[in-house]
Amino acid sequence: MAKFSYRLQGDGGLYIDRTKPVSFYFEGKVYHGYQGDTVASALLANGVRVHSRSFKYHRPRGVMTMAGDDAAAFVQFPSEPNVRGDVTAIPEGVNILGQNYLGSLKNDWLRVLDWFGKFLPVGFYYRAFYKPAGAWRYWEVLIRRLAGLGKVTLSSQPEYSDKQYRFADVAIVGGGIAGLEAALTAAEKGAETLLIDDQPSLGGALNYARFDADDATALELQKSLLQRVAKHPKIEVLSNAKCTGWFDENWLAVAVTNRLIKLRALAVVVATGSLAQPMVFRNNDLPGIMLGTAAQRLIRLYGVLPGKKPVIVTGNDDGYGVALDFADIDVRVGAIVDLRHVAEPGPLATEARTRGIPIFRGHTVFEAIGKNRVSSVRVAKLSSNNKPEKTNIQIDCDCLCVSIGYYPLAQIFCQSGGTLVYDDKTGSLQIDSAGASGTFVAGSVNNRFHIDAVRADGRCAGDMAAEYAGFGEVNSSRKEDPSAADQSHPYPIYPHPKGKDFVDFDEDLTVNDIENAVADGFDDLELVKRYSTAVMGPSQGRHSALNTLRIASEAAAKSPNGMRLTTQRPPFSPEPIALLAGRGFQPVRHTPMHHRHLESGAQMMPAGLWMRPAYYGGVDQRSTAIRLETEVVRNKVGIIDVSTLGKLDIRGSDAAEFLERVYTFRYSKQPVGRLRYLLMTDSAGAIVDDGVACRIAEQHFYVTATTSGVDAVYRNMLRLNAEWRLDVEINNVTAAYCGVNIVGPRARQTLQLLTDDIDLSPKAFPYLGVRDGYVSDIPSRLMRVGFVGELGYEVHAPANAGEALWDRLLEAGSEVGISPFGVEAQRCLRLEKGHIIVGQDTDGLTIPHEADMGWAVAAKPFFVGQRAIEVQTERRLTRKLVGFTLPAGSRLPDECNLTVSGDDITGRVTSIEESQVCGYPIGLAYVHPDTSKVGDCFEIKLSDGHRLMAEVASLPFYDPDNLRQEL
Amino acid sequence: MDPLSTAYRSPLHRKLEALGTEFMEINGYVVPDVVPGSAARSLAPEQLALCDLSGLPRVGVKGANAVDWLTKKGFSMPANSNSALRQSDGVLLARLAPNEFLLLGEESSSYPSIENLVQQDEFLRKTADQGKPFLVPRQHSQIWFRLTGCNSVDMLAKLCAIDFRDSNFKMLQVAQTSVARLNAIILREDLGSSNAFHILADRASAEYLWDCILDAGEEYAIQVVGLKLLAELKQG
Repeated sequence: MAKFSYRLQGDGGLYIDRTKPVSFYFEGKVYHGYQGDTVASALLANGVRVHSRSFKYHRPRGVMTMAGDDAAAFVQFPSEPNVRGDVTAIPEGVNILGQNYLGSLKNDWLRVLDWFGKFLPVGFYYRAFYKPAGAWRYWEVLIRRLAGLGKVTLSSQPEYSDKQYRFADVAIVGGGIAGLEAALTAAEKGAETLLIDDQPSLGGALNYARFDADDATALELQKSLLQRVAKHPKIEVLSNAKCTGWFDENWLAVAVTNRLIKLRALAVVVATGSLAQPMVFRNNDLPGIMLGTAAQRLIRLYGVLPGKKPVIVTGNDDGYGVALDFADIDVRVGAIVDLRHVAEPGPLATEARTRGIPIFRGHTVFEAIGKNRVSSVRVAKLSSNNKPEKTNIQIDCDCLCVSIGYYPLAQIFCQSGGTLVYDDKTGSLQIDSAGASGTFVAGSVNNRFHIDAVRADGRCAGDMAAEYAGFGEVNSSRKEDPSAADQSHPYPIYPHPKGKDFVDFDEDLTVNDIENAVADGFDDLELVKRYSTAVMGPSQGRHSALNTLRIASEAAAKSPNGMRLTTQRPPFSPEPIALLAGRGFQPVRHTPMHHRHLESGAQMMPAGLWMRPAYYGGVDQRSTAIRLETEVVRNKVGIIDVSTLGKLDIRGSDAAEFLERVYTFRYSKQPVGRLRYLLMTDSAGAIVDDGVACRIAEQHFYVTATTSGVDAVYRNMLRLNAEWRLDVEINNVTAAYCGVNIVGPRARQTLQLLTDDIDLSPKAFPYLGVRDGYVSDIPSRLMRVGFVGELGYEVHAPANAGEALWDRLLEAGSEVGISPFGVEAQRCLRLEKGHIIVGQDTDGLTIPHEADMGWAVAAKPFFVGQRAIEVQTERRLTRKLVGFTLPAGSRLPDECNLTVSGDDITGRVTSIEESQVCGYPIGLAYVHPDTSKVGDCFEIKLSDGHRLMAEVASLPFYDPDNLRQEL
Repeated sequence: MDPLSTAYRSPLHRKLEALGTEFMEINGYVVPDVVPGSAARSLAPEQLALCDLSGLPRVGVKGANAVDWLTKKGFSMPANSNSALRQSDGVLLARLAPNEFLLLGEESSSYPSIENLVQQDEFLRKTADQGKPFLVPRQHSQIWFRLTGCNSVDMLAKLCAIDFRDSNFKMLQVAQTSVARLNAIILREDLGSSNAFHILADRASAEYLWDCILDAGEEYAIQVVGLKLLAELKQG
């Protein structure tokens, strides 16, 4: 095991397990870490400082936050770009690369861009690449190559992701001090409480920050709180869980590894804490310069030494805590540079002075020096108005820790409608107005910083949330934290004449860029943001919004207090698309005979949600299979699974009247035991569905509908009956009954072998008759229908008996050569008979008379669409659906090829088949009424532009006298 | 017994046969008795388990006079919609709407009250003309699953947006909802000390839903079981 040059000795490191070493590759070289190490902590432990290259200038970048909040820690995993290396654990053996360079991470050829920064001012691309017209498409290729953010591996297989609904009385977002107190308070009042924390262990800042000189407070408090939380039966903890968004009515999106939790809470407490902020000075982005909290996380969570010669720059007492953390591990701190002139030394400062750490009060770091890492800093004395005076101090260092203030992590709260405002008193942002009803804030996000104030605020928020969720009365009240005024320096920004004083690290924006944006007239933050792209990078302004606000308001000569802040929108942190997609649910419906079709070699095709057999046989035998299936039906007997047909039971004393109103035909005098065609139109008179109505009893109809249309028909019927209030019960029984159409000249002969209680003779059971009885031992309903133009019976039976029915019919017909046929053969057969398919031969505008179905429209007092049909038929039709033929041997048009007259479109082909019985192609098409008479010719424009001449034919093409189906 | 020996088959019979399931007949209804596997001998209350009850009798009753009609037949009515009540003969009567009911016959070895209704639920009857309510053919239109185990709430949360926590979804409460984007009826009826649910959904999507549940239950080590283990679980 290699020794780590920056790994602390001993057993320190809350998150790592030193008994479990892990190896990985970075830029082709093998490194070692421990289980629990992040990429960044392991690299730093090995002395690797440069982890990535910046977006625009390709400057070397290293760890800044150790909290997953900045782009500097982005690395490339084999199957995923932009992995946040500072919070992502290293998998054993993974091959990791840096990002955004040409050459190598260490020697990036594109670093040359850094020298041309002055030629790339803010907004330059809005002006530079769009002239002359069309130039952008050439620039785009180059720019995208230069300014990428990792590489997407299209061949990678995403891991299994799914979604889960969760519910809680109170949801606490954030497992820090305030969150823990809020959870305990809410749970004590009886609320089922879900505590969501994005870290491996609860405690928030208690895990890494220092609260007092002897560093004892945090340990004791954390131990106590965690014990209470763990024991409480009403508290459930989600660790490593990121709340990425708040949506209406306290609906939270929570990402936990590969699962997206959709959490509905009655009340929410946002205890997301605050983020330490960077300081602005020249070369403030050099590797080795990091937030003080990042250094503390490295030391305490990962047992990694951030640097051997640290310097601290601070604007509050917390910086002294960072210095003491170094001192505790026997690292000599070069200096503490305190921006404040007259700060009263607190206990931490006193302890630092006691330990002999040099302190420069009223000074600032004005410039960092170094190439690929910080090697020293120039320190300047500050004037009373916060301006750097002459720089005369240079301090060698390999690490600069910045602790100058905080930014409330209020994104989740703001998504709920809350707002932030700049507060002159505290020098930072604070909550201005409340969020959604039932959403509360607590802790440092609410401008409470002292540990006692944070605890009290958490308890109060938990109290209020529990009360909102219906658990007891509120018996606590909010109290301000006077120490909040000492946390953030109001203007930690020290521009340098030579620039490179970065404000937005994601986008490489400097002080000058923000000032120039304002100078160009964009003096509103939303405009500054869009013009300069400040706060638009991967960290979404977490470390740039506050300083951008300060600089822009200064440049615009406005008070930051009066500036409108940018809008916070979900997601709060990146969500992989795989997570959003999750495990998709796409229901599929199988008929009872589905497996029999598969066993018979059927090629299945979707029909809405259903799967239907298209034809039986190999894909390479499609044409032959369909031809053979049509021949069987015409010459022997075939069976087709029609279970997918919609089936509706309509009962009641007004059942006939209901059908009269819903469909275009007449049903009131339809005899019991007979079926009749159904045509449904919508209120605009357009055909929307068809089927048959079987009159089972005086007050009982059994109605069929199209496979894809039945759900809409059923909904429409329920709506209409709710309006009409007829005595009718309507039930969708589609799935309850299977259907088999046994059809062909030998259909009766076959069925007779299975039926004892139904007289199948033509006289007793004529065409369009309906009979109930048994087929074999299966109770069945038989209907004589003629969709494909042969003697046929549609047999409906309980779905659970569908497979047995299918088997028995096939067995009974085996001697006469029965064979199953699929949808493709059926389409051909029905076309030969001239029958339309609603949805294929009609569209959303087809009225019955266009489809030559005026015969199905009865003269009666009312039906849905009646008036619209009357109005439209009084006008001259603009198109007509006709049958047509093509000469034998013609190319077949595609369905939807246009019918044309010269350059005018007159319609389209809706159906086309090569008919075996006719010996030539036949089809249906919309044409102009002037060319709709039998014998008229019209042109069809093929997909490749060629034209075919077709001739209008009389329908049906086959058995015009209906002798075969009425056998 | 061979599930193919009868005309009426669950749409899941192939999947169950593939697991080596032994089937049994209860008054003509074919159901899985024993499914080989690690839980074949006994079923712990916390074990997530799925059983196909689609072979057992069930029927719906719907119509303006449904309450009177069922009451005259001796059924006790749940007071509210979306709740259920066990009848004295073991039939579970769920009220889906003021005038719509679902009767499930899981508990008994014979189901005289429900069988009469199921037998009428065939093409041969002409009930509407006799002023009876509409018998909804749920025996054939819906599959019926039984889900048990302490993790059943968490597992269902991967498929359905309803809050099934004990505090929110009480015993014999009914939800008419969407499960894996499929219309479904979910009825909570615990088995012994184990959380348990009845799930009824579109028969045509039986295999789809079965696979969705097994997929969602994989992280909880879901097991397919037969009626025998369910009965033992109920007896504790």
